[in-house]
Amino acid sequence: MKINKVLALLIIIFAVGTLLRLYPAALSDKPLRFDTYYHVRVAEIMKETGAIPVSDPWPFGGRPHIYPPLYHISLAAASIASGASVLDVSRFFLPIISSITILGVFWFVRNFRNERTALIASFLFAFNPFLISSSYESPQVIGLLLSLFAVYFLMRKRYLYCGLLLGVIYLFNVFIALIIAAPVILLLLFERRLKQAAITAAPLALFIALWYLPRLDALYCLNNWIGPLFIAKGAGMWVMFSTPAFVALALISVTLLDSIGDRYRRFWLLGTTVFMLIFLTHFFTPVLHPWRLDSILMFSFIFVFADAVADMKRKKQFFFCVYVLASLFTLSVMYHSWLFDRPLTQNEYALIDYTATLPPNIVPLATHDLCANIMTLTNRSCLLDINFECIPNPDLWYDYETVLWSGNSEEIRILLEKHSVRALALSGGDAVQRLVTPLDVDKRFAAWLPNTPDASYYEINIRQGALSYYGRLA
Amino acid sequence: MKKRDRLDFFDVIVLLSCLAGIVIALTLTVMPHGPLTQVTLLDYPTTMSHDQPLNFSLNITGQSHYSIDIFEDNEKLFTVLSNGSTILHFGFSNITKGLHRFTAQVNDLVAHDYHSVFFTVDVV
Repeated sequence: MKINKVLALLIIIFAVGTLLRLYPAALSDKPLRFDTYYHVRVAEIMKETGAIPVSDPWPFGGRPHIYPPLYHISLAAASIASGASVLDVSRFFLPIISSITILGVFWFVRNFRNERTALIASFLFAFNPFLISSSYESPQVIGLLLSLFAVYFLMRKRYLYCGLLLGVIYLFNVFIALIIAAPVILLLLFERRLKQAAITAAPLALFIALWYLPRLDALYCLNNWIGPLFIAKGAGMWVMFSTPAFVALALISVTLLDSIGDRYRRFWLLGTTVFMLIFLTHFFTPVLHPWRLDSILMFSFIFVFADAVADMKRKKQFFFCVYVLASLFTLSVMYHSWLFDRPLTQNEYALIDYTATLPPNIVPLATHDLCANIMTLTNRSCLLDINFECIPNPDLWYDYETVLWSGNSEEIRILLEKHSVRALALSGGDAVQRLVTPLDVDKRFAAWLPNTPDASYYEINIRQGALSYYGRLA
Repeated sequence: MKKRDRLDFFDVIVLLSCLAGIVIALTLTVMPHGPLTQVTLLDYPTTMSHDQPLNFSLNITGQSHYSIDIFEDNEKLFTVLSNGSTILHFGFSNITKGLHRFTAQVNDLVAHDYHSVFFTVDVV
């Protein structure tokens, strides 16, 4: 293809891909996805104090802050440089990084293949619904961009640079660094390049040690959700739904390939296999965050698939169409769960507005996302649910199944009494209500859209100085 | 240059139709999905004498086609059809002594959906 035609197509792909990422962010005056609010609060503290916070930014949470700092530093720096608030910066920071990755993918593939393959890969990255929907909350988006350079250096046999980049990725997000490092190290081990594997792994290990060693004492306090994650047997329905689609897409692309090919292809085949195996662990446990793995899996998939499709004759590009249609189908189905939703539902925003009208001395107990939003949007305080407290004895993980919200009312009663909770802001309708309605509570407010669970506000009655179960008193 | 390396008319059509499909899907996702209904329990007693009438009020916004079922514990007392008001007052008497939970279940007659607010009264 001529250079100007390639450039024109790349500009179109980049422009539309950027629009797809920025459009949902621009539609909402709040950042998308609730995890953003955690990062925003950490970045705000860093901006104000110039220091990394010791504890997580929640009242009564008590959990030490051990999330690597580069994303929060980036948000704070971007806020200072632009003059905008951290909250506003966070709306567009990750979508813009994700858009830049479209160009990064083109550059990367062009280095090892031709421009046509590079265009197809950048097209697949730009329009993959999973990669679009993961562009808003987790700094793993930055990890994907940097991993292009890490793998580039791996291919060019500059192992130290590759390892250093993996270390930098780690300082943005632990999860993505370890996941990307797995096929990198495995490839080197399969090639019997033990020395090179050590050179690559050493900087990553060094960065991990530099961050965690001064915080070893913080590891005594594990999240309450870690234990139940091992106990829970599966992730959400949308992960279940997407599994056959993911497996099929990977199988189709592998089937299309004539051979294992060169080192570039071997790496992405290995990557897809490793990411797929990790993703499939969701049948046993969601502890490896399968809801985050979709984008990493799609990321490696686009390189394999672009490689396969570029070698095909025109008629066989039918598979190309199948892929895009499958993606669109997934897009529409995903919408009914998370995709492009604002971080909370309208019901929950109505509930937050209601809590803002309450007397200042009332501090409701709420779930993670609701509490983050109450604190951010109303400048009021709230109590987080029990998931965000320390596990006092981490050896007893498996005993904590009943401590979750999904446990029994007796445990919830202990929690409410411990913090002298007088009000609850809960979302989820009957699923959550069944936990609190056995208590002597008044449900003062409910908001809902047709056929959705309501978001509700409860006040707890205190009789004779202690919480009492409804029906037990006579 | 090999023929397979060329992006031709077919490719452009596929690309454009994919773009159009995604834009349509995105547009559909941001369309509104029905009215937001809010029910607020306004006035109610927490303790009352059994020889007093029980009075309480509800504020319902966001929908006009609804009915309200009033329950004492799990027993339905009566049903009220919407009269266009957002503030509704309720009152009844002859309540036995003890702890009672009164529930107002707002039924959406269009969406065939319902949600409740409730409160507990200690009748002495």
